[in-house]
Amino acid sequence: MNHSQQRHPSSYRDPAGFIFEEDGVIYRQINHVYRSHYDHFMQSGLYARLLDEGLIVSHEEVPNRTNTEAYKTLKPARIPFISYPYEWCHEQMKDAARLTLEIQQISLTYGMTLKDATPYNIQFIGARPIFIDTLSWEILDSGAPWVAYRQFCEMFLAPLAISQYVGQPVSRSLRAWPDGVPLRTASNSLPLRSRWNLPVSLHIHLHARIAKKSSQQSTPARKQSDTDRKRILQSLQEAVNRLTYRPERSSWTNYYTQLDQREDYLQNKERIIHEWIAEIGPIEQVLDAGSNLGHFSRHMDRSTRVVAVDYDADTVQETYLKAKKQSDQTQIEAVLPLQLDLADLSPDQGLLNQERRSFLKRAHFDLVMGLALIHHLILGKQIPIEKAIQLLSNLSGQWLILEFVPIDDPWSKLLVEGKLGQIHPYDRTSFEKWVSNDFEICTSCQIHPTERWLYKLKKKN
Amino acid sequence: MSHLLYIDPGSGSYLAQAIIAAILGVVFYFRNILHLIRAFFQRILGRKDRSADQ
Repeated sequence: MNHSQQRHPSSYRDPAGFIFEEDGVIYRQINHVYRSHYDHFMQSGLYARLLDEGLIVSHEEVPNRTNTEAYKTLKPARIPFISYPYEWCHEQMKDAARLTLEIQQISLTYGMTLKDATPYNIQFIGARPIFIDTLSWEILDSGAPWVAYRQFCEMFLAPLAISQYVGQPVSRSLRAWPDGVPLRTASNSLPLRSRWNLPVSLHIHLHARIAKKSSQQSTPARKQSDTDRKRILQSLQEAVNRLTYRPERSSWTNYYTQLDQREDYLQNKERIIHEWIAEIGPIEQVLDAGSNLGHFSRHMDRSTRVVAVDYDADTVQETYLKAKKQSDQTQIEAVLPLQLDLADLSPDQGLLNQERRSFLKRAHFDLVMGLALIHHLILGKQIPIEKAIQLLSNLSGQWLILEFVPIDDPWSKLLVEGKLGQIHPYDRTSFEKWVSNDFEICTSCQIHPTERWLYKLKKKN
Repeated sequence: MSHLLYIDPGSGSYLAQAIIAAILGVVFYFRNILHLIRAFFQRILGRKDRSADQ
């Protein structure tokens, strides 16, 4: 491996090959040990079928650029923004689980099986999940049980069941348990009524009990027939489909309904933002920070990719469902909703802290929009104004559209209630002073009839 | 608990799969019967509705 090649830090588990980066391009090396599996995968027609159905990322074979271990080198299509399962909402996780099972079902008909079942094999392009790991297949050994069954239960089923029955978002479960929620932990934390859900009862509760009793047994107990294999898969699909999370409408999902009462405000704000975005011109990637239902993401050009983050799980869920519907209708995958707390962005995680990169390291946004956001950071989260601006500055590569919500705004008042005397200084003069450190104020204007102001800011070099 | 650490965490819970598949066999068997019964009654009720229409 030469100097310009960097093996990706997350790609160390599988001896079948690895991911590396060369001059900013991502490649996947396939080692000789994986040769027969890869050839079967390509020649049986499985790859073509999965590609045709839009379930897997496409790749092209390129000449080998590394050592003698290399059998083939692939150049996979680029994923616009890498997200991790601990940033997804319930429905995103559910779609990722469905995708995994659908792929396994199709693979079986081509004499192959998935050797692992983890949400890290899946990425989202807008609101569409796609499988990215070309090394996940192996030739089916007839009679062998599914080797990734337990992993599927711990990585997908357990977080989804906990989300539905306990109310803990899947993002939280997976940040706490990067390898999946252990079955015993999951079984113990689920309430009694979850046992009435037959698939959950079998794949989590009973599974946990058997695994505990037979923990020394790692060889197949008996051959698995094709019928048994199908039954288990069908039952897992049923389990995933039945784990439907119905959010109690949070105060945030109602935000725009309440805002409708301030119609002029919303119209004026939309008009200004629309103008400014047109002035900025074509951009690749936008972060809508504190996006709520992704209302303003819609003003973007069709080719612009928007990552819409919000800390409220229910809101993200609704934004995702909306984005999914929209991309089904228009075939454009523009908005990727993620659940993220701006005061606690995803950290560097995993082996040597390099395996999963922090949100800040993944953030290369041409434009960051912070609409009706900053008062939440400063008054709600009690972040000093300079830190809040530093945060937005670190996220933005060039542009920042920021709304200033004054302290006497009715919504600010709600946040300040009971906190008087404990809040950091917050006024427009100091806001402009701190913002000017990193940004040039291009334009600013008041959003009538309120006292709120919008700022178009450009980063100083 | 400690010996759990020595088995591959990715190992597929083979015994569990065998037992669960057996249970599912029974469940699906009865479910099929239930479907047949339901289909049977729907057919009869459907016929009754139609004869009432006539």
